[in-house]
Amino acid sequence: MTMSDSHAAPSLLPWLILFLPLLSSALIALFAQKRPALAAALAIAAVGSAFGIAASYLPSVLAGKGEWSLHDSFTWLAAGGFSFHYGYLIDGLSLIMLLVVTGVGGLIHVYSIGYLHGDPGKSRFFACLSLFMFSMLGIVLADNFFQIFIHWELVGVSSYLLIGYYWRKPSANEASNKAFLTNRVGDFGFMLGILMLAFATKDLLPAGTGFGDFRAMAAIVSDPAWLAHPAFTVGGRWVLTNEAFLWIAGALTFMGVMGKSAQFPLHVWLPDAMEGPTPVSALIHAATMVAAGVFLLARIFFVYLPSETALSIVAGIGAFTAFFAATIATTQNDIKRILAFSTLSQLGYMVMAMGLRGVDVAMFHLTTHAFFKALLFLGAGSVIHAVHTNDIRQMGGLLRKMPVTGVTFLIGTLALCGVPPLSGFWSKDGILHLSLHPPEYAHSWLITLLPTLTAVLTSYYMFRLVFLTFFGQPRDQHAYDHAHESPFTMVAPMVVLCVLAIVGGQLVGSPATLEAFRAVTRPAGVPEFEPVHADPATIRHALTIFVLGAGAAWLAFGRRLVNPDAIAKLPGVRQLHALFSNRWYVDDLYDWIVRNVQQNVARGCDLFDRWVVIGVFVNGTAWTTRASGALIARYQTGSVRAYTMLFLAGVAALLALAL
Amino acid sequence: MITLQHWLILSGMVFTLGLCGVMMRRNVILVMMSIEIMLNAANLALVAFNKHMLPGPDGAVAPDGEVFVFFTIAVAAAEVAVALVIAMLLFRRLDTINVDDVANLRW
Repeated sequence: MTMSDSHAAPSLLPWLILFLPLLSSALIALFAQKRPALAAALAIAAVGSAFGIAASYLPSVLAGKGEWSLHDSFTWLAAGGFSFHYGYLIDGLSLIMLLVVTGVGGLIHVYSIGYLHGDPGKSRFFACLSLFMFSMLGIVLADNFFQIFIHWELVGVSSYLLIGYYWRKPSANEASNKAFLTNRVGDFGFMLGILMLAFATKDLLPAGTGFGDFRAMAAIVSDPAWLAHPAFTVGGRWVLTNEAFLWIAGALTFMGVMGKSAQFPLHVWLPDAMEGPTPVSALIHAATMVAAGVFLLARIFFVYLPSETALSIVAGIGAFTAFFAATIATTQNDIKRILAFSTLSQLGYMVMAMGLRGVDVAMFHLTTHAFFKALLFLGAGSVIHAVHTNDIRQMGGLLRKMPVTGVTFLIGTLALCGVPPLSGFWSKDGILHLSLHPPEYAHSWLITLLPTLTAVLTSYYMFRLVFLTFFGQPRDQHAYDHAHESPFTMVAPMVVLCVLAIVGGQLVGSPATLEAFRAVTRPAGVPEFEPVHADPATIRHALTIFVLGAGAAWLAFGRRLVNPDAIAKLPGVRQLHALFSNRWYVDDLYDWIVRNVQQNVARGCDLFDRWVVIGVFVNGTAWTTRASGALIARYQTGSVRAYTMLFLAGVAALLALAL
Repeated sequence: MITLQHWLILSGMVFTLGLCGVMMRRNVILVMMSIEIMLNAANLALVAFNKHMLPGPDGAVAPDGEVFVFFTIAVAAAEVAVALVIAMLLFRRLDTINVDDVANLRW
């Protein structure tokens, strides 16, 4: 495909990517409730076909060097002066996300067959999983803000359904509610941001373009004359330019990202979401849905590009989240929660990279992270499947019992720690490089110091996890004796992901292919950054970070040369340990706010409802009617002559009035 | 010369007579008869109006009032049929045709 016909003719094929999973979900719900094998086959067939269709666009995208795109849309709703469109937009950015979502998603579908073996709700699980795939692919393919918002909420619903999959457990119900409610807070800002952006550009949209169309808005926003134009003025003196308007809208939109990608302070739902089945944690809460926020930032980067204020907010929140989550991960004992906080931390990296204008680096890290974090979660699921506990203090020495799980988990850990030449090295070092040489507006210790410190912490907590789980002596002999390697359907996806975690970095990270990757993911107007070269200095830097963290973990949990419990009791360290293990008291703070602020507001509303609305308006109306009725009823004496008298009096009164 | 006023005064007197009967009489039959008197007072007024108010420019009189009266008589006949049945049933059920004794429909 040449550059001249880079905008291919619309085709119906991409609709299949979107609607096959929805079809599968409906078919399972209608016909396969009692047939788990059929349900699994349907769901996997839908994801597999979607992956195949998406992969068929790869040559065109790579050949097009970021110029190629495929777009089609139809008017979904025309109301008043607005027309809302529903469509698809396949370009380099969405294609990479499509491949990650359907590829990693497909592997996790296969894994679920083994993980949920004999579970009575297996069909329901696959129906929800297919619904999630439909919702997620809608975000990826969306060509306008409103479509992305609809699917944004749909992934929220499917996430809610899947976190609460074990609905008999009260903690799972609470976790799904928490996830849903926390996301409401973020989505409130997201919606305000979308409305601001859409209204600011609505008069300049070309004819036939839907309200909030990405590409039309990008063209409008990139015009410097438009940026200097006032968005509105108050009293002719106080002027708000479109540029300022844009960064406020961008910051509000970022609230949606903070909710979905679990950035501080809306991160609290993600660790609790681990109540769901482990494949769900791997797919939704590690690889795809939580990365939707990062994808959204890349998709609407034109909003942030003109404003360094908005970019600074994004970068600062990302860097803080990365560090914050890593500190908490060092003190957790639940294997899935450690991975959840690690996910938070890595998402913080990606968001920070977005804030430093490193869109391509962030998308690169999103891709490799999807590989190795999904692998780590599947490995954790395999371990939980074997020993029936989440607590790493009950494990130990499992490498001998579960060699494939152990080795793939170790490789995933090394990739996450950024050890060359595994995939994490290429992407994570790209981000670290970016943070050490930030753009002018982001020169701060927050950006330069914290990410490197976070990388050390990452190596520490991951190797603490590995040493406690797979090495040393078993601490629970009973669980150890019953541990066994997982079935083929679980091990095979892990091996595939393990291969991707090893070579995924070189596939796109080596200078030859990285150029293509950067070209297709970098939005127009973003400066290009130095690719990561595997030169001795970079490797030394990466290895130093790794050895510092992993070495500390080895001393404390591998060789046990120092007693971690004794260190945790030292003055100063003790307070830090309490801070980290209580998650910086953020959950307690929210709990306090709900208990003391929200509850009092609710109590006030309840009193108002009870006394004013019900007491005065509802019961007052009823009482007045009843009382006046009782009064007038006295005149109904039953005496015909009295009625005649009253009738006469009435006629006389009317006549007196009329004359 | 008998003018419209004479007829109307007569009609008013008859109407008042009927009204007093309705209010004072206790016997259902007599109450009904009083109602008939009131209706006839109205009929008288209608006929009087027709004679004195309606002659056209050529002196011919349109029978609009008389038509009304025929309607009233027809409706009154139907009403009496129903009312007499009510009176008869009252007597059968309650053994009385005194309206003051029939005061069961009260609050």
